[in-house]
Amino acid sequence: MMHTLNHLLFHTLAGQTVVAYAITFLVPLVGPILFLRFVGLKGLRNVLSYEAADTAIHRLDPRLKLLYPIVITTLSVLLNWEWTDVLFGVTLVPWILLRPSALRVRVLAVIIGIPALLSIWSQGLYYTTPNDHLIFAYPITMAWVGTAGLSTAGLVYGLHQAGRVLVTASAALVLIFTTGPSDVVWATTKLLAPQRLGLAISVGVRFLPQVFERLNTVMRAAEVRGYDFSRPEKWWKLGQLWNYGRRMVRALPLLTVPILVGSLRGCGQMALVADSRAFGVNKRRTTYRRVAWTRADRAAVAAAVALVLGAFVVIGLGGGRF
Amino acid sequence: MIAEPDSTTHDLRASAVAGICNPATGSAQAPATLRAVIDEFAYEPGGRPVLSGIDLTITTGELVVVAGPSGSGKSTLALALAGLIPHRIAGEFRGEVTWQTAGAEPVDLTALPLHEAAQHVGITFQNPEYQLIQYQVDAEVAFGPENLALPHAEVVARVHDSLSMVGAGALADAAISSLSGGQKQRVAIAAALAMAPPVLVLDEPTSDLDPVGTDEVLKVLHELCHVSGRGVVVIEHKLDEVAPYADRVLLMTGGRIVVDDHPRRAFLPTSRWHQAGVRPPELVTLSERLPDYFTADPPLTVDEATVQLAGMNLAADHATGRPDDRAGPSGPSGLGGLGGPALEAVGVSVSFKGKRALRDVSLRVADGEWVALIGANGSGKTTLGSVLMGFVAPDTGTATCFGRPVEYGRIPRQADRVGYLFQNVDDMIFNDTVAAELEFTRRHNVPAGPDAPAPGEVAALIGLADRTDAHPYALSGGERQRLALGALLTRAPRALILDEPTTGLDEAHATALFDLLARVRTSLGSLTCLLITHDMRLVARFADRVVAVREGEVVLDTVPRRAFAQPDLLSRCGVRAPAVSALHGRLAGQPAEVALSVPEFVGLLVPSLR
Repeated sequence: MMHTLNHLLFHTLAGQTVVAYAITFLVPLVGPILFLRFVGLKGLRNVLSYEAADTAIHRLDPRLKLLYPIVITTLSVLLNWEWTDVLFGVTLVPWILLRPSALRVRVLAVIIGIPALLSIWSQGLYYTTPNDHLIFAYPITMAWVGTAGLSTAGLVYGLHQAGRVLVTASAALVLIFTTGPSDVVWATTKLLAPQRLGLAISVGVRFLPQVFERLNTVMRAAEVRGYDFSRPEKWWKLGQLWNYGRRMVRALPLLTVPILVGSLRGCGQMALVADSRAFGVNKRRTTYRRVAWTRADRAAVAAAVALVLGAFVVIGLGGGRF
Repeated sequence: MIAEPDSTTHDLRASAVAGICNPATGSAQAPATLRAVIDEFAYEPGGRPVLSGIDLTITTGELVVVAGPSGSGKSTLALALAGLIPHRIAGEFRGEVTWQTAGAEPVDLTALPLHEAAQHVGITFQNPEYQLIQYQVDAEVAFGPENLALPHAEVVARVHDSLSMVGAGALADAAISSLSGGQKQRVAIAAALAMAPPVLVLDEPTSDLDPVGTDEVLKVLHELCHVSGRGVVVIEHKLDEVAPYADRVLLMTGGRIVVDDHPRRAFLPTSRWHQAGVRPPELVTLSERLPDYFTADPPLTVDEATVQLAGMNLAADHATGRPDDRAGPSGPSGLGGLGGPALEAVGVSVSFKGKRALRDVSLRVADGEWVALIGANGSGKTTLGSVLMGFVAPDTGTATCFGRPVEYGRIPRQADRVGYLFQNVDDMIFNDTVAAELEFTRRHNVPAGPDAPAPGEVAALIGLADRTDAHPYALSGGERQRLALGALLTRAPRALILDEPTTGLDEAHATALFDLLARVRTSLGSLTCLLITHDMRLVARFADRVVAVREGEVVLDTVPRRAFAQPDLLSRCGVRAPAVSALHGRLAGQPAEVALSVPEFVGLLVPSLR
């Protein structure tokens, strides 16, 4: 039986094509399925939102927290993959100090893990080196995909890249988790010279929850008209699942119209407001808010400097990527 | 490191700062004027003029109310006064808007950069949502002064002063998204005030507010005018509420100002206002009907009317048993003849993020009954409607729709029995023609019942049969409202939940909407309505029953004439009875029932005195 199955799947053109289709299209579906199962849009909103708490990291100057993921990401690019994994360990220190709830850890793990998984998959298919060993060679019927198949070198490279994804996500989520949106906006506008970019970020942070709310309202409005967005009760019933997917895809242009129209109208009014409040009149704006520099901020800067210097020493000793 | 602004900006800034720090200097002692002389303005060259023959002067220290039907040019006039036309709004503009202080040459606002014009005339728009562009309240108010590169101390002072002026000092650290509609409106006004303009133009600042919230905002505007010495121009549909605060009232129709007078004279004759599709204050209408009693100027407040009618005899058996002249489809306010429960909530409690929105609420709406759900902003009205529709799952309790349990999250399953008209009907429009919108059900294979009318029938019912090829966004606000309602009707629901259906509509459009509902009822044989509203005159006219919600609890459930006889309870619910009802209650010494309309009130007069 197993022998026959093995023969059918790996030694016939049709079987190889089926397996190749599964690798190409089913693996990427794991991400969305895990996301919907363990996070969902609502969960994403909750977990990606600031949670007020009185910890040392919460109290840090927002500008430092904004720079933190940038510095960590840069180091992850410069270090080789072994040291990138060490760097990932370093980024866990703030999380240990924060002690997030088990629920949040689970959701964070999914959010961080999905990009890492997809990174391994995509590199496994598309990262090629001379004399690659292919774990599974794609048949001629899959030539249009543009890859020879799933390679060992690609998977290993993907694993390395996944480390970098993990480092970046871990550092960025510390910022989101511990910094209020108003602090993010303030820090961004203070650090970024172009006022327009600062305003764009400010407006984005202000209106992101509203876009979610509008999406929710518009979906309800469509449901009141009889359009069914409800998930199938028995997901293993493929017919129901297929119909659900089709309904969701068809709904995209449907829902886009009211959201887009509402947003465009809002944008027009926002532009009028910004102009009438003298936006862009002076090259340098003054500021209402002032943040005092504390001992904790100085300690954080010292730790960051030590980390960067340490990384450069490692790179100097051959631990770099280039 | 602050770049020094150019001298023009500096001078403007200095005068503006003086204005806000010592308001009296700019206006009370030496009034300044804003004058708009607009020969014509059209949004498209050669197009229909939206404004024509305008010659309007606003003086600091006066509160001017601009009224008019939808599409009469009110909002366009506001944009012109604020210098946004022709700076930022494209169109063909012939005219000028000038600002003049005593002893100085007039300044042409249309020739100034927008940010400089904004320091003479500030503007707030109808929907505060899109004019608050920062995340936090203090950052929002500071945005303008920061852009002007004012010194830090000055920015702080302006933020503090502006928020204090609108009674929102405690909100400085709050996130904008956490504010109620009224609070957002206050912050929007504060943000405009932080630019220190001597004149403020507000486009329907109270459209989303409950009556008590409306009154609070109007008091703020009154103080800005008569204490801080600013000029205030308010575009408003709620003339009963705003008239007592006004120094002048303007009526616009067809882009022209056809009335410009003191509020005691402006509304007479009321027929002119009704013809324009605008609802004049009830008390003025009453005084016009009773010229022998109102020998002085028409009253604008219940207090004034009470004084003028002191000693008047009212029939003791006033409302009870009299034929009901309301247009509501269920006839008299008693519930006789109504069927079984259409919508029912039993012991429903709902919490959001630990905050209780509804507490053990029970409500039964009989088949064919029209029930008005009233209460302050945030009292739980919409949450209750959402539970009945299946949008929100209650923590405890149950809800049923025509005897079947409401399935939460399975909205399409009850959508063939109950429809929900959202406050913003634009959220309900998905297609590019009226016809496609009405064919939504068929196009998306939504099962329609045997009673479901054909799209053509619905188009005729909603009065859009000749506009089926029109793009929905090319329709007027009232037409879009009818289209959204028509789209719901294609599934022949037996009940409708209407969430603030008349917000922003003038009298003509609001009446047309309810006339349509009455036709639908006739067409379907029966129609149950749960009406969530702040418009008490609408309630008085159309509702069979009033349910008041306060802090998530039902505190009143009775017929309108009994509900409006309880002013103290209504006030605690953030609601005010219609002026005529309140007047009746005051004159009769708090009777059990009160009149709901001017004709009814007039009918109560003892015949010998009538």
